[in-house]
Amino acid sequence: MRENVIKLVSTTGVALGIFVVYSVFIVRCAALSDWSNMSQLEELILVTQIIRVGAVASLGRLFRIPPLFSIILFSFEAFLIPLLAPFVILTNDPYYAALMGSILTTWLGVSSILLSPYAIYEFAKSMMNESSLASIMVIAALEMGGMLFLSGVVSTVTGTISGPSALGTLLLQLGRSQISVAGFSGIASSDFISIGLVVFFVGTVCYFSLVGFSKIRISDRLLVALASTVAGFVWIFLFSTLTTDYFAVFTIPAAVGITILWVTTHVN
Amino acid sequence: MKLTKRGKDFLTATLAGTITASIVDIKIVLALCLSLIIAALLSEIILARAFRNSIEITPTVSHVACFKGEESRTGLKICSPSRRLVSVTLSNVVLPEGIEANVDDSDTNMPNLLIKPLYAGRFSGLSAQFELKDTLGLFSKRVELEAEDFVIDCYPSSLLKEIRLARPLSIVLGEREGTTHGSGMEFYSLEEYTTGTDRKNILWKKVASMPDERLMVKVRETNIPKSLFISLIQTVQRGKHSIPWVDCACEGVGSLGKIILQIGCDVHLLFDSGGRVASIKAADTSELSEALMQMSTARFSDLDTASLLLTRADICVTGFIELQNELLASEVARKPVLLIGDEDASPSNVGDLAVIYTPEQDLAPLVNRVVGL
Repeated sequence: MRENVIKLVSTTGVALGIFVVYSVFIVRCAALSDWSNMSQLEELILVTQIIRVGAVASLGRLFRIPPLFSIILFSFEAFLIPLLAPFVILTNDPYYAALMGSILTTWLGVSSILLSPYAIYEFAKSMMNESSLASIMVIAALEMGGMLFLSGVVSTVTGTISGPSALGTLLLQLGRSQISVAGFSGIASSDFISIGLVVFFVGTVCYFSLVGFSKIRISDRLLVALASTVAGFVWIFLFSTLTTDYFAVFTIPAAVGITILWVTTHVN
Repeated sequence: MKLTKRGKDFLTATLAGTITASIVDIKIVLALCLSLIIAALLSEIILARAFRNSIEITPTVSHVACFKGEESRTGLKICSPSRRLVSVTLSNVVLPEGIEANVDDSDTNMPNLLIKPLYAGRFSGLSAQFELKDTLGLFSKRVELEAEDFVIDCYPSSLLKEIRLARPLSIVLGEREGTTHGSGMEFYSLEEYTTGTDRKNILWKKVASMPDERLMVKVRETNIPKSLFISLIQTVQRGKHSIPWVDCACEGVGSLGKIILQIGCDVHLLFDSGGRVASIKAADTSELSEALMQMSTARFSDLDTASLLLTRADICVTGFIELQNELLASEVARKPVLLIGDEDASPSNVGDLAVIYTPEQDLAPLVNRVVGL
């Protein structure tokens, strides 16, 4: 019982942290968007995507839907694009090429808005059911990275985003340049994003420290986790004054720590 | 120190998180992974320190007494200075051979030890294996501790058996009144003369005062010895058969002791206690139980001590293997003997006064050979 409460609270923290970062994206997106003149294709993809997400989310509570089925259903438009390629080659008609581009960008724009909260919900569900910490950590990193990317992309826009196709185009253009330069983080920074990151951090630390082992009192396990967090941040603060290379500040000490732990548990 | 299943998952998670976050540059996840690795290191240090500090186990009852086949329960108090940050779980308990042990660890602070002895005798020592886990449950270490002063006394079932015994006709020479008719000097009762009665016991004065012609005779009381001595003679190592043999010896001596106590004598158990003859007196069943437990720890005797034990014994308890020594066998054959069987051993000479012990065997005739006719 207590184990489930701890799991629920820490999972809610992690999901809420990611959702706060997503909400920065969606609020900014809503402020900049003008979707009054959507094309029929955009409307079709938006409406069907809403229906698909709603159907999968509601049916998922009643039946066990295979992940592959959800992926195919949500990415249906993406599978249409390769089918249009022969038409471009055979007819040489620019309409098909434009249609391919429109489908891709619209699908990308709609998915970034609708699929993100669904993905956060599914991730939270998997945290409640999943027993593997490794998969949770990787998915959490990618979820948070994705949301930071979306928030970062829209934070750089000053003009109007006219429809989901425009949003998709923006994500493709800015995303390609941002990832090639420095990665996801550091693109956006706001108070809300900071709050989201802190909640995400605390939730994950609690989940990793408390879930799955119940012999020691919660307060003592939290004490160890807190002491480690403080030590970690002191290290980051001190070392960041010497170098800004995140690889030296984070990755190398983490790799050294993992090596020490591995060696001490495998020698003798 | 080993990684637990959770520990392996934890390390894999931090490694995977570090790699993923390094590739896509998510500093918050990198900081998270770094903090988690520091937490794991800190937790490992706590466990290593706890391991160096002393952990002790103290049975709540250091001396457990029960009958053979009965289950007894004792708590095991685990004392560790680092108990708050390190979980200590009792994983296994090893008791001396011949005792079944189960652990009820529903109370993690004081697990209960369920003991069920299969053989009678005194057993000592307890070895417990503990699993120590760090604060976050990532690492584990096994520790083995021993409580040498832990003693289990398992009384033989023969002490519980009810013995229905006709009081024996006793010898004339004895230090104690037998409270039955016999051939002692004290007056016991008056009875009518029968043809088998010795005529010298007719009380002529009483006959003269009788209104009828009945002849009255004086019946004298029995005299029984104050104590009977039972000697346990072991001269050979039995290895893995030692515990069942001692069990049979305890059962047999228990039966003999109860019979002897019932006829009103005290029991003296004689055995080798490290090169000297130990003599434990028992005047009631509880003293007999304690004496039996001491007897079960008897050492192996050399022939000199065995001879001494034999000389002082009214009843001798020994095994088939001992009687393979012809010299000892010929001496033992002169005494009433309770023989405890040994596999693959055939005694050279058991004599006419020997009884081979089985749980169903009535040992009263053996006692009668000593105190009666």
